[in-house]
Amino acid sequence: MNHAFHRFLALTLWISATTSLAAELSPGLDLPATMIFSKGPNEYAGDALEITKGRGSNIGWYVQAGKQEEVEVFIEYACEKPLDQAYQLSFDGKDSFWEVPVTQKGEWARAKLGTFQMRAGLPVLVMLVPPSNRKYDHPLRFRKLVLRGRTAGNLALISIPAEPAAPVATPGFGQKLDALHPALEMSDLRDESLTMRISGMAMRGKRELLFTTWDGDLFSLDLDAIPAKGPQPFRRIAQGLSEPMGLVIADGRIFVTEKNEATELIDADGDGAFETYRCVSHDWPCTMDSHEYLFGAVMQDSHLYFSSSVAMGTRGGDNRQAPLRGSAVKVHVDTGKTEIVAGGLRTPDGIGLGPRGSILITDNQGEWLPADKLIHLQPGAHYQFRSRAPWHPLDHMEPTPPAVWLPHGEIANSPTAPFLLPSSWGPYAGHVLFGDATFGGLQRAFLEEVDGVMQGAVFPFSQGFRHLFHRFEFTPEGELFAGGIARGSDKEFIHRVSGLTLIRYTGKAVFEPLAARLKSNGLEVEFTQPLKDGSGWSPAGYHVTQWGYQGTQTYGGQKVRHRLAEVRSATVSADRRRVFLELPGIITGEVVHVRLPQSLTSESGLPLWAGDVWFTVNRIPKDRPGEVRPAPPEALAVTKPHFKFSKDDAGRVLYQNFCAACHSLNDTKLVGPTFSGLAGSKKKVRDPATGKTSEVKATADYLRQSILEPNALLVEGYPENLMPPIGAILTPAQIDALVDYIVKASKTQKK
Amino acid sequence: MNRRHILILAAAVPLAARALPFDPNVISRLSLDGKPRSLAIRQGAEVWLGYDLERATVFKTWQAPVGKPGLIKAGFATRSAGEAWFTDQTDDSWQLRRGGQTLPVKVRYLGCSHREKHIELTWELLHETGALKLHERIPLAAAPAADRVARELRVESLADGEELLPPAAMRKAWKITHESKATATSLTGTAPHRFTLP
Repeated sequence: MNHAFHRFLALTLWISATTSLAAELSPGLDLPATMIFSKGPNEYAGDALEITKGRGSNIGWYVQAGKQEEVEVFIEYACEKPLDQAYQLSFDGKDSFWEVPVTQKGEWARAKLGTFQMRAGLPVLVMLVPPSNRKYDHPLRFRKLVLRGRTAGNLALISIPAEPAAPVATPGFGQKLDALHPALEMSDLRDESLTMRISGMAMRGKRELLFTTWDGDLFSLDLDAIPAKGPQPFRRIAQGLSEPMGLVIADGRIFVTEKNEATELIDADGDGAFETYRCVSHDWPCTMDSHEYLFGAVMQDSHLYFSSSVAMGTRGGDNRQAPLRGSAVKVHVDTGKTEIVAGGLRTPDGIGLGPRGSILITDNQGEWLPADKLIHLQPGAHYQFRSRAPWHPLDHMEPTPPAVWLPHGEIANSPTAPFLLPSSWGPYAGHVLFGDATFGGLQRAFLEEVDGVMQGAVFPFSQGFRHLFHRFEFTPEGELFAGGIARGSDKEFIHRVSGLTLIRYTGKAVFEPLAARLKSNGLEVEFTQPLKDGSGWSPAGYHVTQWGYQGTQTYGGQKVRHRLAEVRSATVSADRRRVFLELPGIITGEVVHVRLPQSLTSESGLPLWAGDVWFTVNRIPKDRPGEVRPAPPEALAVTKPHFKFSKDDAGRVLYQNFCAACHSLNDTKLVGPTFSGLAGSKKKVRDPATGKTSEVKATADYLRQSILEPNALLVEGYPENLMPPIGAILTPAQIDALVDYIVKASKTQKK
Repeated sequence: MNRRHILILAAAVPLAARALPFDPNVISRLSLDGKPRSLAIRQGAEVWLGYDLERATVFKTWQAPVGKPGLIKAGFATRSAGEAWFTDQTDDSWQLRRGGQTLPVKVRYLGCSHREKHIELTWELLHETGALKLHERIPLAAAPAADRVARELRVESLADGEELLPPAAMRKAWKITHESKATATSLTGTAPHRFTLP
């Protein structure tokens, strides 16, 4: 999008909005309760919204300004009883908290919430977010927010910006891959008689793999004894560990991160049995919450690094966390000296060593995290998860962004351990792979540093595995062991997706985007193979969108400013391995998504393995322009469109992104009930508020209610809060498309 | 049989054939009765001791119901079942007595060892001028009937004239016997002290 077009679009939106929604030219702007995106589970009383429920609420507006200026925000409300938790006000991604003053009976009050900077020319999201899942004795009645700017007519309330149309999705192109990467071979080393939920993995010496299981055992596998067929010679060498989630071996010493402590396993007499479990450190508080874990660890300079997750049981109540939960922790292995390195983590299931001595952490979408993350651990950083006072000591209102956002449902769902690929992995050496305990497969990230700030791209890499990978370890020869895990109560599912897999890189040539590097004026995409001569020059051959993220304290968050990006030019390098996309609208803090067309082939005729690149822009390099050259005349001759678009595809993609991890369409047991045969069927449901059960027909309205308010009626056998309130992060049009798709697919995609 | 003989013997026996330490039926390291940092140790066939690792103390002793387990596992936590012989629901911890003054200590759990015939737990007790190391040995064999439960505690680095006072509930309910057979109310010196539950 060039500047002139940008200004035109902004002006058009501004004029349209001001003429239709703003009654008069004034420096102020009312944001009434009646004009929020969706009332969610709450109800209106006249022109006021009675907010009784936090989880699933979506109290927001889009505002646009012709020019940048400072804006004060006020609220009109009534609240006759004190609340014990604060409201979140987010203004264009800047958060503040509002402790609600009590009002007199029958009176409306006006309170100032803060002063913010209004950016020009792009839709700005303003959100008022109640505390998560709190049910108040008396509702907070909310009438409107009032923005007070300085320039008459500058601010305008606009309708929800339309999502840019997405090309029709196929595996690897907008949809999860469905097969093994062509350059990989794998062997399933499971033992059908054992369910091994692998939670930590490390090599002891060159030919012995050790791994822990969630159930508390430590196993050994002699790599020279792996049979061609039949059960693996797994040996249990330790037991009685408390939910270990990480294993490190350094200088022959074995360390495990357990539920509440970092432990060294000691075999002092050398008889092969670990008779001492030495507590290296437990210098942080914990509770009985089942979701509190220690994830990791990695060893660096005689220190263990691991991370702690936050409690989830409190989110239906007072949201209190034990102090220091959600931290990256550093412990000296001999002295036990413990330091809190960073805070603001939620469910940081993976930690690993990254490029140039860095430490990487993955984290899971949810409260405060609008998407999954690949984080570059930095001392003193805060990664945005917060609960309520007392805040984490490292909490500062400006969160540190991840090195790479992992769009939830598009490329990740529950990302697990990241790890660096060794030199034996050909072109991928130095890249980072990570698994996913829900999305499955392996995803690949390429990381770069600009001015010391890490950023990079994530690519689909491989699916086609039986196990949901959680932990990884390489042999010295570059063979990769990957261990699967699952949670829940379905023993058959857990058994099926847990276990050990051996993966080998074969070196076979594959055509795919290899890396992406940000330039001052756009994005350079590198390929594993040279492009076919004359191809790649057309800007229309790259579907590029960009967006920012908005986190909420209730659950997840949404893409903001999601828009089509202008691809001003595409320049193919002399060796045809790189394409520079000139993108004049790149903004720091946003994700740029590039979809490549399936029609793109390599010089040798290989088809593209995958065509999605998500790049996180943390720092735009100042003096590193990409080379822009005119395309050869014949290269721009387009015989047919690069992409197809279909309205019906939107629901399918939404299902893939938000539902497929838990709801199958083919009777496969997953975390939630299957959608197979759902539409029109009768379901036994329970109202958790009353405990009463009833039978309902699964109509479109029922599905819509389940999306908007997952806890209203629970399918029998499923607990409260299992399903996230995704309705809060989808637009009404997206919910319509999703419901339509589920209704159709549940009828037609039965096994 | 010396240490070298034991090592030779251990190497000759496949690991799978030997009992691994930390059998959860003997020592459970999962949270007990709602205490996140706790563990349970079985003494004899039916007596259990529940430890609060953050206070370096037994917080419950109980006898399993006849013919039933005394420790119930639910998910990754446990709860005690049976007749309670001792409970301490306070937050009391150890104290150091020096020169007529009583000083608080900060407890740091250092780990546990599973030996052939006993479990050993170790804590560091930090006070304003240094640190003590507290060792507790819990025999796995049943205690004599008269004692019901038996443990041994010793402390390192106590200076002459210093005493380590157990939490109040322990002082009240447990009989503490010095190596010299004399009854005591605190730990002194470096010799083991026997704790029984009359």
